[in-house]
Amino acid sequence: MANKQATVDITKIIAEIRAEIREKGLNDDLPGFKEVGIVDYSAITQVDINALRQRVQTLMDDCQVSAVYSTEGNAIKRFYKKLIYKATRCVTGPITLRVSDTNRSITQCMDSMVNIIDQQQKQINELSIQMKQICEALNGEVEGK
Amino acid sequence: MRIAQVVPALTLGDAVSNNCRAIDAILREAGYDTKIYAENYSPNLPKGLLEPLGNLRRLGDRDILLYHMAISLERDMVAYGGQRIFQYHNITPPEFYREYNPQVADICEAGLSQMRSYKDAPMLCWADSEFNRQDLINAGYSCCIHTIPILVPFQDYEKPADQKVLEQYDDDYVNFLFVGRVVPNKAHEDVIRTFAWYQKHVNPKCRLFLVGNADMKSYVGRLKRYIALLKVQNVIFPGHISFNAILAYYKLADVFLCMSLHEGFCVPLLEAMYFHVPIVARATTAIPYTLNGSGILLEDNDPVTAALTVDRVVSNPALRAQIIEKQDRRLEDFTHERIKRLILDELKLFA
Repeated sequence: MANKQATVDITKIIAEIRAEIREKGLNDDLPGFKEVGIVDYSAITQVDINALRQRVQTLMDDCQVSAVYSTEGNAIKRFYKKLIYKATRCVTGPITLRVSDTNRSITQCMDSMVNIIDQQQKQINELSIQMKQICEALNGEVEGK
Repeated sequence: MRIAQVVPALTLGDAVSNNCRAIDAILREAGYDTKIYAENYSPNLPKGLLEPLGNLRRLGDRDILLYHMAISLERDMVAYGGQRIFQYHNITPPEFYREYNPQVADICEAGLSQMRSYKDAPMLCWADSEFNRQDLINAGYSCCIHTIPILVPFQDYEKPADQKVLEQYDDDYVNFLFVGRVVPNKAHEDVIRTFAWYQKHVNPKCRLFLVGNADMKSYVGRLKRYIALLKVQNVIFPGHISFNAILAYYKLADVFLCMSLHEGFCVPLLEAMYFHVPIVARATTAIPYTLNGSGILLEDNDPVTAALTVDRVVSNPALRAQIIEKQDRRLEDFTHERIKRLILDELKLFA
């Protein structure tokens, strides 16, 4: 009995299933996994180009670094600050110049990128309008036929 | 003679780590001086279980280095000396991960490249499955390669199942189950697709449990959007759950559906056998070897054939009983005692 029970005829079962699929005309009517992209574009937020431009502009205004010491405090404090400033000027001077240059380059790059994003956004909008017009024209042709 | 087990990563719950810990237990029981060394490890492991790989010193000529080859290791195994046994658990082809997580793909790539470079390093290899054995041969390994299945501590499965989970789904729904990390090589999309077809055309009263670590957000996100597109209901990702909860899902399952594209062994198949859950699986990589004629193998990922096969299995008690009986007999090949004996006999060769 045990031996008889253990004979699962898988080939026969699969053949029966295939026959059932054929007879009933069953088919895979589900959308494929490929129809879902890896990146969820709907979750990507639209860039607010004006806000981005404003932020970059603020950074450009602030990119200059200065090694000038603060003049706050009493006369003794100011004296020591001046002393330290003069003593370290030969080191801090070139560094602040270099940092300012780098900041300026970075903010200029960012400004260029904002312009590129702006241009591309405009192109996307134009292409979207064109695509919509083409789709409408095609639908019109199909309905005409 | 001491035995150093080296594993790239030791964590809680993954098959390679569990196997490594189970081997550690039987070696200690047999009186061997043994220790696990891991390059990476999770902090919540029991204290004293392992030592960082950096603490491993060069082994003596009679000592054994048992290296679990799964992903790449920073350190060179040959430099540690000793008599080297490599247990090969297989490495997922990087192509599966490339578009979802390039870093993981790079790790797999490095692992494969290291595996190929070690072809002359071991004196003996253990392969989890015949599929893995063939993989080693194809990579140019010329040493003796024995098939030693993963050591599964089945006594752990006798622990009580999570009562809350059991009660939550105690109804007349047909429960599909798949257990495994939610990663692209396991093709969860094909399980979902089959389930969706079954729900739409066969029986709407059904649910699908996709149990396993769902950390790969890019893949999991895509699966969730696919579920929304299919408008399929009752697909459940329980996420990171306790061992007792996993036991509960096995107890609730009416069918274990595996559509995986790449497995080196597939421990969940043995777990399904243990819990008398009939298996329907796609015949890829190590799966036919692990099932060895038990369960039902599918030739491809056609959801119609798969869904109708599941329907036959869940609605025909005689067929179900036959499948389970065959699975029970297959499971006897993987008993703890049997694999333990195999491992200890192998080690005697080095005494």
